[in-house]
Amino acid sequence: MSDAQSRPLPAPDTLTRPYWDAAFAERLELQRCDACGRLRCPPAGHCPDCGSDAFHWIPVSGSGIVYAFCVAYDTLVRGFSPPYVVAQVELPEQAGLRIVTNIVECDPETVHTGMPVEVVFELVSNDIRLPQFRPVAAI
Amino acid sequence: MSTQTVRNRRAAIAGIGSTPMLRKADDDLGTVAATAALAAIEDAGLTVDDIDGYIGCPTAPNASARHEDGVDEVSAGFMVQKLGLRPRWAQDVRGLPPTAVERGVQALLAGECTTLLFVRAMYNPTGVRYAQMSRPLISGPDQFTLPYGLGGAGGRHSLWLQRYMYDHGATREDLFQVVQNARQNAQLNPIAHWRGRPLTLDDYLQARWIYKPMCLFDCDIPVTAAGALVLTTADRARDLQQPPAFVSAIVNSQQAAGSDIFQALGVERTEVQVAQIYDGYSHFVWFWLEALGICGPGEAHEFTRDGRINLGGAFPLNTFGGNLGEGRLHGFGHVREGALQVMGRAGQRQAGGVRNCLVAVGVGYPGSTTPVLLLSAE
Repeated sequence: MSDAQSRPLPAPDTLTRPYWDAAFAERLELQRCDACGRLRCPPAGHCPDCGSDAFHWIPVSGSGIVYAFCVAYDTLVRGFSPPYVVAQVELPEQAGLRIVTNIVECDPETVHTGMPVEVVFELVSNDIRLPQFRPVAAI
Repeated sequence: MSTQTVRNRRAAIAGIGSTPMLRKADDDLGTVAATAALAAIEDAGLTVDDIDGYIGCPTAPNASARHEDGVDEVSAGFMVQKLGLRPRWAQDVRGLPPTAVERGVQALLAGECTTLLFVRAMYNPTGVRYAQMSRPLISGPDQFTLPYGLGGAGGRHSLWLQRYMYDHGATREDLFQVVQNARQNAQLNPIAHWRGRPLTLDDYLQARWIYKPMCLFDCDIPVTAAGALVLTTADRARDLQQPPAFVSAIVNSQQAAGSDIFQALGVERTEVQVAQIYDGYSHFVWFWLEALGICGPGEAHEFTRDGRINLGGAFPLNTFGGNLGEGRLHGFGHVREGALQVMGRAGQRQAGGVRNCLVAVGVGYPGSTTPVLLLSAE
């Protein structure tokens, strides 16, 4: 899907480093607000629901369903080879909790809204693994 | 309500200038901007010496932008020097043209100046793709999107479009109605990029994908071009050579969304004969129509069928061709056309009996802060 040598990479900062550290260890972890218990993604210093700055990182299941997606046939981001799928995957832990991801390990044209997917971790540099999602294998 | 501050036609657009749309240009952007500015001043029957205020919204919105004054942006300071203005008040705002119009009107009504020039210039660089992203390390919120190849506005907005089509059963044939309307009207606009090039449904359905379900023709076309307006107080405007377009209401889109836009603008639905609604991507028109309550949620793809939005239809939209048909002036064209329609100066594309034109610029869903304008005839 991509050329790992030149694609843009996340630059972890104080807020986001725990997320990327967990991903490197192949765990998907999100912030849960200590005050109201809501999960949030992407990371934020304050809870978008109640404004509290108290939170803990907790692991989530890594399953989800495709909420919305596009198939990039032309791209303005260096290091990517179209076609590839970018999606918002809704996580089962909380209604409306969505993560931006690629849908990997499948023909882009087979992706559909509501498709069950699961997290995998793609090594893209020496210290970054991107959480990615692939279709749940048919049983 | 904030609209009260500008109701009763206390300020007006009195002069309009625009350059042709240049697809790619080595032209000096300062010259392009000055050409539009001088045309607007002349159109108002004024001279540079009459201008005592300046407002700009110079930010280049493309990812490949260098943000160099006089190269791909023109600041207020740059234009003051370029044109030899001696303003009492000059300012840049970050935002789209209606935001600059709002700030300019506020300055006029506060007595900061009496005759104000507004310029918007856009630059499409040669030798580089307009929205090419090439940063290797991504900070801030983009670190959760760009590493996935979700680049810029097109990718983000294509997700909204895909989900809209899924939720409401909207089709590409439905979306073509918006694109075709833009193309048809562009045929009647002498400065439109796509003039002379109508678009068939087959052309549209066979166009290459960008971010599927968004195709090439769902995206506006970057250009190098500039537009300018002269704004002044209503009393002064009535003494100038053009019949003015009054700025009769300004409603922030945070307030407009989810409300009855016509109530907020202070008019009846039937009193608004034409609308200019932002179409940087085609589906923005749908999102705006629903956000403003012009049709119900999930109904916009039906609302735009059957010629309703065409010239001669019940609710003509983007009579100049919009960004999709004219070129990407980032909403300046929508303001300009709104003024021309209420002035009765839109030529072949003049809609009938126009007293009021609604102008909505921006993306049409949460986060937009660009005001909705109502422009009105005397």
